[in-house]
Amino acid sequence: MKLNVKSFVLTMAIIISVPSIVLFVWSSLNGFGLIIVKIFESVHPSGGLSIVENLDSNFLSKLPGVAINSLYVIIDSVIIGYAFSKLYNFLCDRFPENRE
Amino acid sequence: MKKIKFGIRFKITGVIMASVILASTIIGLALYNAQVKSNREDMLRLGGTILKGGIEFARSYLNLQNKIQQIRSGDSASGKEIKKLSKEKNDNFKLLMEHFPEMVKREKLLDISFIVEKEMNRGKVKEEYIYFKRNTPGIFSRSKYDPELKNSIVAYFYRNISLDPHLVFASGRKSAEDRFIIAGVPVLDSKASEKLYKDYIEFSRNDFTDFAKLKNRKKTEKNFMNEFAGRILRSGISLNFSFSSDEKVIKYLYYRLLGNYKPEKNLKPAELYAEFIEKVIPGSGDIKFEFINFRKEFNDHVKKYGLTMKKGRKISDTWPNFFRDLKKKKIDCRFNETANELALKAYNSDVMGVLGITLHRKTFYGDIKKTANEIFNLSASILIRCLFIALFFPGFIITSIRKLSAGALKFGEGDLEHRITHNSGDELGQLARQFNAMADNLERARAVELEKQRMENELETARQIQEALLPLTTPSIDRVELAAYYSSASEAGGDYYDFIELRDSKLAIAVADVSGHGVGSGLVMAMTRTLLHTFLGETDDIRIIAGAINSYLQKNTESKYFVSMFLGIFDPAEGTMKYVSCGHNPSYVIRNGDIKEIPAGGIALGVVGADTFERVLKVKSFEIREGDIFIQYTDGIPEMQNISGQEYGDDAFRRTVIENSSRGMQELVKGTVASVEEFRGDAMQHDDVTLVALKYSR
Repeated sequence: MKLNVKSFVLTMAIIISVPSIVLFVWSSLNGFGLIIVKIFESVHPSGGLSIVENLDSNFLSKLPGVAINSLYVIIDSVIIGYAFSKLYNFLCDRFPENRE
Repeated sequence: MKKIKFGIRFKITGVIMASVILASTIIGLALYNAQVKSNREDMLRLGGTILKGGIEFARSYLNLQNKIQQIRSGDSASGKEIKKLSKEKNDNFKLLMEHFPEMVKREKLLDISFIVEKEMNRGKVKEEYIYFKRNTPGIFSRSKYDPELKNSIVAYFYRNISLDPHLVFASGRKSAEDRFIIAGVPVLDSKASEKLYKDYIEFSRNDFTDFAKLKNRKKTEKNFMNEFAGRILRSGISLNFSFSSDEKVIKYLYYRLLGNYKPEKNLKPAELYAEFIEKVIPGSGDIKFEFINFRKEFNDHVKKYGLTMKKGRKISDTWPNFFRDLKKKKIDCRFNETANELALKAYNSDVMGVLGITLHRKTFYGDIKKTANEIFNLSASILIRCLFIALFFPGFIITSIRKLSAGALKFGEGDLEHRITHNSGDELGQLARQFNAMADNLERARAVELEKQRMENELETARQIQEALLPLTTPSIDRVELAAYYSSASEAGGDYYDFIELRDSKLAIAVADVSGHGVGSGLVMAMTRTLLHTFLGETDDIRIIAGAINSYLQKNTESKYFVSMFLGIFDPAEGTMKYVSCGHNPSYVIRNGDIKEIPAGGIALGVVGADTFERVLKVKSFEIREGDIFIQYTDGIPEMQNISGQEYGDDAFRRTVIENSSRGMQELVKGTVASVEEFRGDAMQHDDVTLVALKYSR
């Protein structure tokens, strides 16, 4: 069975992005899950606007970091979803199911 | 199909990536430069603040140093004074040495500090480089030459009039990271000098836009030039200039200098001046005085008369106000150099040294490197995502285009029932809908075309059937030559002619014209023919036949259909033609080259009821002699129109028939038809054409 690319991309985007954005906001408010955010930001440069670099500042100062991280996570989830579904469909064509 | 090599994906990806790379590079470079600038400004601000703190100690130290040297080089050197000044100088130097370690401890960015002492002797410059210890007050080393400093910060202050701290990257080392970062500030001889150059920098920065201010500007510039020239002369640097009156200048200068000396009692200043001027400008003053030689001449003059200097007087005191005094005496001085050149020369003579500090390279380059890495990471991160987006994004367009392409191919192959399933609201979706609409229209058009084809086929069949109803050949009757022509305006015509052989060698001739033309008229014509053949089989009474046909048509056809008909029975034995005319055209008989019209009349068949019809219908006859030609036709001939809408006419028809009467009947018919066709030209044939000709010979 082949995957519907659009549906899969949307599913991935929602499943990955929504919890991630919640986590970014939450960590900006009281530091919850900061280690995960730190790991995430270590591979997602934001030119000095990251949440971790503005830990001592108030929530408003961390908002650009939240926005940049959210943008990253949405784009990445769309890319991953698209690449996954395309690759899966391609391999499905190459190795068809044995119907016997 | 040709394989696509550089398709939409390649092009869109290329454009997106090129744009992103360009934008990233520009933004990256801008951020990098901004960071470098910011770091430089921070370092300059820090270095400048520290250097400004030590500049007064440096100025006092260098001034005292110069003063001691002047006293030592002078004739009246006083040991006590030198000792006092040396102590003062050492105290200032100590303060200077203490200033830097204190600061270096606070700011890790700071490194070794130094002072460059500059000594000017008759225009020649000597430098001494003194480096201070970093952590404790004291001298780290001394040197007469340091290419790193000489070619960087020192060279900068030799070439530029500047009072502000300046930051340079010392050259001479291969790697940029190995080069010293040096902040320096010039040490001028006095605050008055600082103010003078500050004013001049401000003056030279201001552009003049108002011509009214131009005069004031010139005046101010001249004042600056006079001031700079005085300072240059005081330092012993050569200067090229000329005066409006050399003699007045020499006189002023001579008395001004002589005021510093004590002449012997028996020597009068006027006599001394007379001798001096005679020596300097002999004769009438034709020889140009070289001012540069004045000092030498005056010194010789002083030696010759044993003049001794008054206590506390100096020759150098003359120069600072020299040019200002000349101006007061209205002696104009012209310099060969511009104000900027004079300013730089004066500035170089007033700068006593350069105070500087080196800054940690690693801190500066470390920050820059960190920034560069951050910019690179950010750019790479954006680029990678953009690459994915650029590669995937065209997929949506390509899929849609492929669907459209496949659909168009199917349409091209004739599969008009195929529909493209692309329901997006974008331009491609619109295109798909337009393709589908086009397919609908094509399908409808094809159905219409098929229907038209079918109808044409049917009409062709009708035409063939109708043609089959007309005589294929003319009957072969002794002494009678027959010919006929028929042409319908449409597939099925409404004209009819017939030759029917009867008993006793008689020949029935019928020429009819059904109203209108086309399938309906053709069917009425077929009906009329059937009736005619049926009734002629039973009787040769043309009155009865005509009445019967009229009754049948009047009852069984629509009122718009009626038939005009000439029906005659030719008896070759008697040479007579008995006929009825049912609203048809008159016939013609050509005899000996003359044409005679045979009266027509009657009412067309199918128009009125039997009573009226029979009351009007008359059976007539006329004689056909040997050599006579009988002509019968339908109105399609005289009413034939050309492209201008003109009709062929009865006269032209009669003329044509007479012209062709000497030929055989076939030729007569052909010639007449050819004349009619020639008249019609490219115009459309509006009505059916029928022509029948009979020639009788005994």
